[in-house]
Amino acid sequence: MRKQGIALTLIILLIVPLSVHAGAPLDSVKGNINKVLDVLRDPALKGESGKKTKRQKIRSISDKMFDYSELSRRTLGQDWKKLNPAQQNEFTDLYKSLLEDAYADKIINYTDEKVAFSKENQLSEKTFEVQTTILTKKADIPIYYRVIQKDGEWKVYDVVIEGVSLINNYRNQFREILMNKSPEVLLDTLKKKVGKA
Amino acid sequence: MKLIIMVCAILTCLSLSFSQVVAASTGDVLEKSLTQTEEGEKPLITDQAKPDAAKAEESKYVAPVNNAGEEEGEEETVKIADPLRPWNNAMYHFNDKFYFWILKPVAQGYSKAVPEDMRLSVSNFFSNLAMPIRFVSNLLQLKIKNAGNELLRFVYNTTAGVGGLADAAKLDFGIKQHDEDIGQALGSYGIGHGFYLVWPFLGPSSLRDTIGRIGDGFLNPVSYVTPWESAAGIKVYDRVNETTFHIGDYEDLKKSAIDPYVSLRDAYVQYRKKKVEETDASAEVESQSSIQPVGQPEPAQPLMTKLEPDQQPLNNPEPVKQSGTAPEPLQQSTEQTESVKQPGTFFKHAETFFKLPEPGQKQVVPKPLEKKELLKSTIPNNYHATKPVHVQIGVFKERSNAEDFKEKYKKKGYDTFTLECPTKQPGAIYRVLIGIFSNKKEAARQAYEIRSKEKIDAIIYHE
Repeated sequence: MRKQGIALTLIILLIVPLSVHAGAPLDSVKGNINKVLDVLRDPALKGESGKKTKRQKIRSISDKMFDYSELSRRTLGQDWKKLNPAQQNEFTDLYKSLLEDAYADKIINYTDEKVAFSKENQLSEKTFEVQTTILTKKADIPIYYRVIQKDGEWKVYDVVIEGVSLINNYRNQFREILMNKSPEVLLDTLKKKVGKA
Repeated sequence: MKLIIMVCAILTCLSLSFSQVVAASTGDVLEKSLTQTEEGEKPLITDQAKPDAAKAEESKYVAPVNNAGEEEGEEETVKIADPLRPWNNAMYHFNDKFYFWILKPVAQGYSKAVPEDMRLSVSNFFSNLAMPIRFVSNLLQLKIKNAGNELLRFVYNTTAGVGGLADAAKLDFGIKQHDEDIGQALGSYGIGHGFYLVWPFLGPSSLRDTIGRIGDGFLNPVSYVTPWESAAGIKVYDRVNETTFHIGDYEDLKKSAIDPYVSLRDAYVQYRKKKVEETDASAEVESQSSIQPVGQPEPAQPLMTKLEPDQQPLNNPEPVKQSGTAPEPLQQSTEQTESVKQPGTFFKHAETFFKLPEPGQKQVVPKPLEKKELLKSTIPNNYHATKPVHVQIGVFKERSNAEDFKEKYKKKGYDTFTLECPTKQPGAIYRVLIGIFSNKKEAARQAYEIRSKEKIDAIIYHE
């Protein structure tokens, strides 16, 4: 019965993103988050030894879940043009590993919090915001995923935690650097940060 | 296999109809903003123009001009002046050291000595005590209903919640705390931050929020404790207690940031902005729900998943529990039904005492809201994030039965949908639920109506 349920969910997940209509963004985010939850819950991966595998698995899910080039482009906003195509590629890669390093550990250490998927809001023709809440004993933390449709799939390009948008937050940091310094300096700073982390 | 395909088809149809609801509801809000204010027109047009341009440019690797413009638009709303940066920077470093050298070790020691539930009670106690801040701040924003709720919460939590140790009002009636402070009230009048200001020990603030904080101080009963050393001691204790719930947050921010100072400053401004706007959103939801008491046509399909502990300190005696929320199958807990019965009496009294605004009166409220329409135009409509509350009218073991039941009541005009819930045993149960309600109170009212009108069991379902 349970296996059937899983098969069913998988089939639904396969079908729904193909059909281009609302309702899909929420399902897409839900599907990806549930995949992450499955990894976190996997009894075979308990303890320190499983952490590395967990991290790898979560990374491969996040690769599919996020659109890092969209995320990078939106983060830099108007500064994106200051970088040449090669630098843009490098930036995307470095930024991606920065985010992975920063958030992978946090996710892995989640304990018994619950995730509620409440609804989706249309932001523009191609973008939606899927609203979720992490319920902890102390408080409910709203986490909104902003998704954009790319090739019939919904990809995350921003995460808004308690009203704080990830890409807005980084944009202000990168802008301070790019204001008086060249893109190379930005890339070097990123390299250092990623290397250190 | 055929069955699976059929179910898939049904589900796809369902999500299709959901999409129409989404389109309808978002369209409504857009139309509203168009007719309400002239400012509303601007974002609407740009919103529609943008995606097309973006679509055309997307194939290229270079950033679309329009998209960059969009980013600019977002930026305007999160900027803050920082003329006192040298001072702020110094204070940032001071607070950083203060946190790592003093506050964090103390909080860690304290949290080892005191169990979490007790710390939560302490947190509730101080929160209850600080009611005047929220009461006055709600009043200042003409949020009469919220202010009334705060008063109600205070009375109930102080008595039934044993001096405020338990948030009984939330647990029993779903009356949530309305986190407001004077800084937010000022913000709701359209007063900007002024500039960024970091205070030693207290952390990030702004000119506006500093003034707000002074106001909060006057409204906080703890400030009137004499001698002042005791008042300060109590406040420090409150701070340490609160910190125990946030250990790791600042460390995460520092770890992920390129420039922690800028990151923290931006996070503060974005967070406060949301707090100020949230009041609008909840006002909007309230006025919407008063027009449509049966429940908003929200396309939400709440689904809960439980995260299992990564490394449990003890072996879970029930490993099967992992499958999900594990709701009590086919049984309606007495606690839930009780809360349905209560509102009939309790809330009727509450309403007469606090004169909850009637739909007609609510028209008065939007006045302060219009001001922020400008600010709001850049954020998505409906920013509220409350726990979804539904009314449950039936639970079934078979999906098809649940679907039939759902259809039956849909025809009667209820906003029904089914929710699959995994059980402790392999398999699932199917709940037939109605609508999303912005709070438990409304859900309770609806449940009460259904029970008396349809003669079926209807209880509140949340989470």
